[in-house]
Amino acid sequence: MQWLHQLEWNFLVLSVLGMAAAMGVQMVLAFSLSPLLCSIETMAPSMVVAMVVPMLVDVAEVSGWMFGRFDAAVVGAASGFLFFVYLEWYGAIFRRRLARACSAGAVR
Amino acid sequence: MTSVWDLRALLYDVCEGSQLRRGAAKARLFAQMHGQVLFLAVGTGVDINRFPTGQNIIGIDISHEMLRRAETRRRAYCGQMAFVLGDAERLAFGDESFDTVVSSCTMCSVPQPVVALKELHRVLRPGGRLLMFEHVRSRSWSLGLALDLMTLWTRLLGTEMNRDTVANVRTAGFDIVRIESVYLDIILSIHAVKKAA
Repeated sequence: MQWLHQLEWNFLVLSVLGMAAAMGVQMVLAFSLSPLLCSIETMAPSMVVAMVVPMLVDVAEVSGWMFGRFDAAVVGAASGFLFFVYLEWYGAIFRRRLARACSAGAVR
Repeated sequence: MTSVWDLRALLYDVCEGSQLRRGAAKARLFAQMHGQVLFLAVGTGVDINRFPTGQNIIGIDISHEMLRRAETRRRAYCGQMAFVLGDAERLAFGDESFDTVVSSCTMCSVPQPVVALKELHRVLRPGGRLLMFEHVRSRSWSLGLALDLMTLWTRLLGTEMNRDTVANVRTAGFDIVRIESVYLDIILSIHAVKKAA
């Protein structure tokens, strides 16, 4: 996304192109890892991080906060960790809701 | 449609063969097979080694190439297993022919999932079980959006990542007995029954 940003095109166009490029890279990664992970839907969380974090860095740079590669990597790692925590929380909530619905017969 | 799956058969074992993360959950689901079993979209048979032994199973697939590649696994299965080339939306079986119908990552790839599920409902005996291992759209907005975006690409290969299979199962007339989370709310083990008449 930062490469695209250097082209100095319209910000919105660059953002959409950057996100599409990030998604493309993620899809290639997902297919590459599928022999280990099986199907690619388990890559959805990393796809969210891969699309949102470059956007955050880009928005910050447009707002005047300049990021070096190390800073960007730290933001990426921190965002990945935060999203992991969110997934753990979301998964636990979902499993609890399912268990409650099943025991109450509400799944029907 | 058939040719896409004949093509995907070439890489199916590589992309779908890993049981590392899901094998145990699939085995738990498949353990509930009983009686005459219909296994939908058997593919290259990557799930066969998770089937309980001694069952009487008919596996169908729309792709001749998939079934050809599954043949070795079929022969190695300790039980009765036959393959039939067929379409989930037009099953060549009579009404109420099966006690259990099983699907594994199938409803993402059938063009009209409700039509296929109604077919499964038709061939299942009253009180029969539908056991599904399926990936669906997440209700989390971020994950749901990611799956919607992924579908823009995967649709070209015949797979939709954002289907509401639980709602489709209900629409087809099944009673959902239990849902288990295999991975968040994206990969689910769905246990449903056809209401007894």
